[in-house]
Amino acid sequence: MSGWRRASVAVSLAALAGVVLRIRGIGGAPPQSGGWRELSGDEMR
Amino acid sequence: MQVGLVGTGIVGLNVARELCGLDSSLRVALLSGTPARRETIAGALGTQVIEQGGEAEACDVVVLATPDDQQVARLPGLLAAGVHVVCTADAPLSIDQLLAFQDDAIDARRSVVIGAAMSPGVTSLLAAHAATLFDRVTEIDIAVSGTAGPACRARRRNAMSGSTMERRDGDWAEARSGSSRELVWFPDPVGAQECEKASLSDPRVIDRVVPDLAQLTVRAVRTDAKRTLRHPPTDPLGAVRVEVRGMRDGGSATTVYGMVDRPGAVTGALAAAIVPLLVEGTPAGVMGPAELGQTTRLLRWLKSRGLKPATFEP
Repeated sequence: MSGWRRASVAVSLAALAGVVLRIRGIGGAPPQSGGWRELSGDEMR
Repeated sequence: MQVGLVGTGIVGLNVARELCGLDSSLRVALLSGTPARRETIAGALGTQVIEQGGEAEACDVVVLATPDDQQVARLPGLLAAGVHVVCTADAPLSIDQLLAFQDDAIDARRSVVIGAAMSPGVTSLLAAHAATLFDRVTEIDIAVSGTAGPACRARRRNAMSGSTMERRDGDWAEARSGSSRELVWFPDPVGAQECEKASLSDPRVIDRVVPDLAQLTVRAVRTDAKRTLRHPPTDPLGAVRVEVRGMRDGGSATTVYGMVDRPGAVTGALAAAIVPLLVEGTPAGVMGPAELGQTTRLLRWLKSRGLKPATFEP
């Protein structure tokens, strides 16, 4: 019985992790600083 | 100079518009399309557009803006006619098929530029330019968002299934398209988008100008088939992001470039900008835009047309 309980807990945690990753995406920590700026003409020489 | 244009869809219209802006003495011969469509384009762009086109032989350069398979089918005839060719085809299979015309292009002493599109054309230019900032480049990761016309959208949907080739640990390896979902930050206003591995031709084209990378990948934003079928947008905003890593001044470094605009407009501007380079004289053969040796000139041209190459500063 405890085996079933452990298995169901593991499946639930895996599903929860899947939902979180699905919603938030993987590996893409938002940039905490900085930003985009247009390349200047001098940088394209 | 007379430039032939095959294809009168969103990309073709943008190419014609950009060509007319290059040089007032340039003439654009519309070599395909229904009479009504040719009349519409000629009416919109003025006397520089020759509505009834004529034969490709009369042209110095022909720009192909048709669906990919038609570009592959048309290329042998154009080389036989002795014209330079700019191809906007972007699917991996088409790129491989076009590259196979290398010997024919050399025999004809004509240049064929492939992938003259936002992806892989602009991504390869940005990657090539960023690579000049490094002592040694080890990794390039490309991300692409957005499509131009309906044919482009259909190709992107296909690109999200099947498999794709990428460089991993220095070797070519197969990856499953639609896998390895990752949030990618494009320049505003596109911003954060969820991207997945995609069967796009960017690695194939970039590998020719920045070879021997340890890692070279491409991801794309999945096209929402249901939404685009119900309300197909006309050339909405797209974006590219090129992240280059390597060694600089004895340490590891990263440079990130990006660009946001309508894919059809970007493709039109790039394809048109390549035309005068071919007339001025480029090596015979089949090559990507970044192999022309005019990377900064092409990027400056895109910038002068209102497109905005950008860099991310941490």
